Amino acid sequence: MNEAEKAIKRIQAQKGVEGVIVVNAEGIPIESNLDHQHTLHYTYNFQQLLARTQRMMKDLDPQNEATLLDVQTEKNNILISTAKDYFMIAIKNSREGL
Amino acid sequence: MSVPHKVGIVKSKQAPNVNTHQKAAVAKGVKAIGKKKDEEEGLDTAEGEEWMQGKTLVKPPDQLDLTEAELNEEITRVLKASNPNAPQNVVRYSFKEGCYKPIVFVDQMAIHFELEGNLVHKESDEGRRLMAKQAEVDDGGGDERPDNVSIKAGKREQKLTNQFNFNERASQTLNNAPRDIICQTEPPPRANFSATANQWEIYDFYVEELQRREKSKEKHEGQFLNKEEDKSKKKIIQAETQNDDISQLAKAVKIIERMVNQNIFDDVAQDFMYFEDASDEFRGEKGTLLPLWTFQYDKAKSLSVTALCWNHKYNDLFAVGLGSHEFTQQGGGMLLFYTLKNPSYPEFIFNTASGVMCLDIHEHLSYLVAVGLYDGCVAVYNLKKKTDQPIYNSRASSGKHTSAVMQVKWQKDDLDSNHNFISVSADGRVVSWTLVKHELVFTDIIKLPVIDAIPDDLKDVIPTVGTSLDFHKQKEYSFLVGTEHGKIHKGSKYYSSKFLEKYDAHFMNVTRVRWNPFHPDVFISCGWDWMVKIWDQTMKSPVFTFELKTSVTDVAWAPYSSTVFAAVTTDGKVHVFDLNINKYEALCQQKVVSKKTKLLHIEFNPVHPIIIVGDDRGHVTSLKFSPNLRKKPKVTCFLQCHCGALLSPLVDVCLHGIPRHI
Repeated sequence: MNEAEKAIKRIQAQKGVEGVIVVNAEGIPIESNLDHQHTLHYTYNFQQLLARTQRMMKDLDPQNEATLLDVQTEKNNILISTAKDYFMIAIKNSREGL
Repeated sequence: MSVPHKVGIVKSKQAPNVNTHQKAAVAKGVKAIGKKKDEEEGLDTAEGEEWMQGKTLVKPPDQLDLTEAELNEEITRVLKASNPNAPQNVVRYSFKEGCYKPIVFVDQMAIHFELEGNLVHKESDEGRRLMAKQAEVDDGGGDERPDNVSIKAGKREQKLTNQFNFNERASQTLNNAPRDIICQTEPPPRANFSATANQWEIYDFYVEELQRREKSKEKHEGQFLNKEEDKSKKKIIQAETQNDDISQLAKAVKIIERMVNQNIFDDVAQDFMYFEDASDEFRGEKGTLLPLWTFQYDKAKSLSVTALCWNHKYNDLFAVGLGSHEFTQQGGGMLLFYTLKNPSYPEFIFNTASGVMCLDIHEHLSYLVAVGLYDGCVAVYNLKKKTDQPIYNSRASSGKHTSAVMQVKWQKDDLDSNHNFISVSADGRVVSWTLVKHELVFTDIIKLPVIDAIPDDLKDVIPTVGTSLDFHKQKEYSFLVGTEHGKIHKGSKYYSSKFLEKYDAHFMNVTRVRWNPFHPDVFISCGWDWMVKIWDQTMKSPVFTFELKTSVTDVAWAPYSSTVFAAVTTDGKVHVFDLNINKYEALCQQKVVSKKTKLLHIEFNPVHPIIIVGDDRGHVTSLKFSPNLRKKPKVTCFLQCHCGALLSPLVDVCLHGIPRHI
């Protein structure tokens, strides 16, 4: 297993992390530790969000592009990171209290 | 209306409304009468009269009465060839000019009578055809002329059948039943394709295309050089394309991992950056250490931390050497690199054959790491390379140390701009290693002097174990070596026969000796005899002595102040001193690890106010200094050199010459 796969396993094992989804260039999730339905649901929604964000960033500055999105919600914290064509979603529980 | 007509020659092209026989009748010298009605009336009377009398002139009743003069008036009539009924002012719309234009030439022909005839010219086609037909009929039959070229038209004659004996028979071939065979191919697979074409997409594509072309150029050039290389390249390329799926993500995954860690340890990260202990104001001089992250690695559980080093270029990266100090517990060793950004997993992991005893990261080329091992080898790792193996190893070298290497330090590049470093080991030798091409070349610098207690014949056998080594910051040639016997030797790279100075530092093992980063004459040492001593190199006895209740395993100067230093002891405590504030006791003595864990090493971060301490469980803990411990001295107007402000308090302290404190 190469480095990236090992790192993905580590993130999945990290305490507080609910799920990690890796999506390939065609929008198909290739790795996930959530159940299928949820995976597809998350993938579909975040793909759109990501596409939108990318378009927006490029519109503002053509040489710039978004590499990481951090969505803080009431219940959890979702991180989306993009590479060339792939992207990756990590869902984490919000810490109790702050 | 009756129109008077005079006798004259009248020719008109118009068809007169006159019956021919009437005209003829009237043309007998009688006045020509125009209208029919009149003529009929006149005719009745004319014929009646004529029957009765003969040549009597009868005047119709409604005829104009004209005088003799008027009657004799000559009226000329002109004959024209133009058609009076033809329109004279025909106007046509001309599209070319866009207006109505009168047509000048109007057809003047008036057709009075038309009759189609049935005469055909002899020489015309039809005429010839008819003539031929005529000739055939005249000749009768025509059986003898099948090959006559001129008679082609008349071949379709009705067949003469014998009316008595004629049977008409017909037959029909079998008509095969018609069958419909339909063939349909499989439609080509379809896929919906949609994409956006923006300026940036086009730009990205062009950039990629350029890169691809450059790559193919390189490959093309490389192919001519070595075919074997090609094969290996091909394998690599294949492997690359297979792994492209996930390894493309490597960067993204890294970011996510760090982010996840940052979010999990968010409070720690916040503390690291912003937390300042407010209660320090009430504590007077004392300060505290705030624990931040702990770094541990599963596979390093049985090993203890033997060396720590911060990276100068990347201030969040530090190296941990793992091994074992115990003679009996020697196993493998590890070299780990952690970053503060990811406390849960090391960035780089190297396994070594034997325990790591010391390490040093090159000051400028922060990817070069020199490591000294327990078995006496020194190795150099290159972090940029992906391999697990060191790029240089002194295993095969003849000059390798015969005993554990206790300290390595990088030096400035030598005259040939080769990198080199110096190591001191338990076999008493101080050796300089130079990285020449693919191997390490060693040069003995000096051998530690054997103590007098050992008898002469064993002097070569029993070495003096050198335990610590430090080079002066400004005077690169000057160095200090601490020994197991408690002595500190000051030497110089230029003198290889003997040391310049010897200090009786401790009763037991000197665990660490370090020059002060600012003051050129001051250094600090610590040992197992519970003491931490500060020296001025010109004086034989220490300037300061501090007694900590247990063996002191490591001591380090702070990089931001010349009077702050910290020491770690085997009871798990960190002691922080600031000589500017309190010359006699520590500002902070804090236990940072759980009981029975010994702290073995300490290092200050060059930039941030944190320290890392390594313990014998293989854990590294990071701690933040509270504000009281971080006080920087105020800048004074004299002593203008850049570290003058930091030197002055130490100078004051040394000059005042506080007597030894026990």
